[in-house]
This record gives sequence, structure tokens and C-alpha cells, in this order.
Amino acid sequence: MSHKFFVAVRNIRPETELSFVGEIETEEDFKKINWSIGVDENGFSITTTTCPHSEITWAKVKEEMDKL
Amino acid sequence: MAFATIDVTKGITGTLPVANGGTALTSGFINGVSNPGKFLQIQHTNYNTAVSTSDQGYVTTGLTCAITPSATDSKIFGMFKLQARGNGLTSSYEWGYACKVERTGGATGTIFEEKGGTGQAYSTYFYANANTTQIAQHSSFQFLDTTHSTTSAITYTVFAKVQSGNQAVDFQNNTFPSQFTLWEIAA
Repeated sequence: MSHKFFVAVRNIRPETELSFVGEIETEEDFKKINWSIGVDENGFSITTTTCPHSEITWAKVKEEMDKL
Repeated sequence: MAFATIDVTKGITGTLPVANGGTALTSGFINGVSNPGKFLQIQHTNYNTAVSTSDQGYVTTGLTCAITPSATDSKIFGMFKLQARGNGLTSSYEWGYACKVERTGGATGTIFEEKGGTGQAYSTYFYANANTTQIAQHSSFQFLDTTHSTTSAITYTVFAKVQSGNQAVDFQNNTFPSQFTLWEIAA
């Protein structure tokens, strides 16, 4: 199931870096995604739960997932 | 079979082997060592919540294990098995990940890392196309923490990162568990 989500995001924006717990099936799940905005000096991802990519929205991702 | 009682306090000198079933040395020597190492405690975690990532920076896999050392100079031996399912998101069918263990609490810092470079430099790696298939599988890891210097609780957390943003990894996918075990061994 996560494969479908990752492919949908990639179709909208290739090489988008993110992580999440569980599955992304609803807009509520989508709001809990950790989006990478960089890497610190120890190699840890710097993340935010606010999607930094304007082209990626839950509606767009859902649309792509439904096509797959 | 006849058994005889031997008074080992008289007439026996030198280094003695450990007797079958012998425990609890309070003085003297075992095989010439007065302070033989021994297991002090064991902690174990079985974790099956799915965590997915396409991040090239380290993010948590959710797998942790905590221990409170009974001595500052003891050793903590850790073993963990990461369950992972790779997702190649492009036509190259390629994925790989690196992982490391970070301490928090009584001790801090990185205690273990399978350093990732590029391509097959990742120790857990898969690649396939029409002509070739390459698999580098290494999902069980071990480390020895000899520097914790604390008797406060330490939490060890496994972090991972993927090789490329066009790849993803699902840890503990479909509730298949990852496991983490810590042994404390006396100095």
C-alpha cells in the first residue's frame, strides 16, 4: 500500500524525501508525514509536517493513487 | 558409582577449571582470572509498527531498546534485526539503505553505523534490470558499547536512510517485526 503512495508522490514530484508511520490513506494521515527539508551535520534528516512542496497536496496524491 | 568428598581447601593448588555446574565465585580464581565476565541482564524489543521512508537523511525506524546499566564500566552488547521491504520507484528497480544506532538518556551519540556511500556501497542493496540482478543483503547487525559510563537508563534507537529519493523502504512492513536485544556484560 505504501508503494502506491510513494509512486503517486513520485509522479507528482520525483525524488521527494519523506517518512511516516503506518499507512497514508486519509488526509489526516497525510498531515502526519515528515517531509525532509535538509540534513544536519550528523546526517539526521531535518523534517517538517508542513509539506514544503506546493505541488504536492492530498487531493493531488489521492488522484494519482486512484489512477494506479 | 561411588562418590568421594574432596576438601579442595587442602592439598590442591594452581589454576582450577570451572566445575560443572559451578557458579557464584566469591573469591579466588577461575582459569587464572579473579573477575570472570558474566551476563548481568538482557533486554529485548519486538516491534511491528510499519515505518516508511524515502529520506536520504537518517530518520527513525521506530525500533528502540532501553537498558539501565548496573555498572559504569560494563559492556552493552547489542544485536538487532531490521525487517525491511524495498520499493524501487523507477524503472531501474534499485534500492538500498544504511542504518545507525543512536543513544539517548544516560549516554548519547552514535554507537554504530553502517556507513552508506553511493550505489552498492549500501550494505543492504538490490538492483535489477533485463541483464543483471544484484543483491547485497545484510539486515542483522551487532555492536558493542564500551563507552556508556553511566548507570542511568539508555535508549538505543535505530535510524535509517535510503540511497535515493526515488527509492523507499518499509520497515516492519505488513506487521512483520524487527527485533532489538541488549545484553549487559560485567567488565
